[in-house]
Amino acid sequence: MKKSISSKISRGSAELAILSLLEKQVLYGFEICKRIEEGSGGALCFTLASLYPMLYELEKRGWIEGKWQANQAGRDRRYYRLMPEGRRQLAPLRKQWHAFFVALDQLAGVHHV
Amino acid sequence: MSEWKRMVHDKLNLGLSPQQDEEVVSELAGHLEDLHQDLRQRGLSESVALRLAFAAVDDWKDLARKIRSTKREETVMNHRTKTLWLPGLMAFAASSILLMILQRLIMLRPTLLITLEHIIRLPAAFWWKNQVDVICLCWWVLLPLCGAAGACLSRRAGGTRLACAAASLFPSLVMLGLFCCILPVSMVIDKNSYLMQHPLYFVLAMVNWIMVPGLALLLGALPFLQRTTSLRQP
Repeated sequence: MKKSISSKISRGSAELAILSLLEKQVLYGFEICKRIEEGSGGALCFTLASLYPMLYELEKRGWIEGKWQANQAGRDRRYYRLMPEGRRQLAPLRKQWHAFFVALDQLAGVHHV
Repeated sequence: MSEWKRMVHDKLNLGLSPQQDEEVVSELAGHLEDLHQDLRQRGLSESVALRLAFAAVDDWKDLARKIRSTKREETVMNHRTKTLWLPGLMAFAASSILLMILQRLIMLRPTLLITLEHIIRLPAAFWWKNQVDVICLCWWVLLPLCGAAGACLSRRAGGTRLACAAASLFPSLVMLGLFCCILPVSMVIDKNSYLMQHPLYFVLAMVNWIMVPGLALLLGALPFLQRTTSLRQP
């Protein structure tokens, strides 16, 4: 059975999940949702309502940029790509999440690999 | 307009500019269309796929509010304004006001000079003779505060290291702009030969008004140039 993570936790991790995905390739909103769901084995799920405000927020900060282009089916979709500033934010973000899990491990015995 | 776009348009009352409205509606409609297709490919019936796609958003008002808050702020003030121009202008205004206050304090109210006479024991005549130098020195000593203010504001707005540094150096950059444009123009158009005859004065003025203040401003900005990203609470 898939273990789903509560929406409060997944919302906090969305920033890192989105930036990590866009580090590898440009993706549009629905693809980002699918990749996050598949990549996390179904544990992390983002709906339209939780994803787009976050994407617009990251875009506003200048970490990602959206541009319209046709997808494989020929439909116009807004593809997001990681900007240099977003790339710069990734390393410290990863470090902080690692520190967070280590702290949680020490405090509550929550192990992570 | 596709059915999906019409549906999103009806549900999502954004109240942004027509162009922004159209872009958001198209993007969300595209998402619902992809979701519907994906559900169909998984073998769900048309009616169930439609129902699940429609149910992707349970609170359209909340979604509209969230999108509006990110997009509206962008319209009022863009990222560069928040991280560079505004903090830079604040630093510039602070440094100018500081200089004005020092001039008034020292020129009009000699209390500060008398205090300095007591702190640094030099002949009284020295202080009265070098009033301008005293003003300049006091300004340089206090300038790191202005640099720190500019860098702090820029960083709080999510500015990059470069934006923080530029915002803190803004007063010096403005002076550099003045020196590079206005003075050469005055030499050519007004035939101001004084500067041509005394190039050393020009260099000294550059040092006094641009280089030393620039270093002082940057000194104040240093603590804010060491980047750390705040982690949102998961």
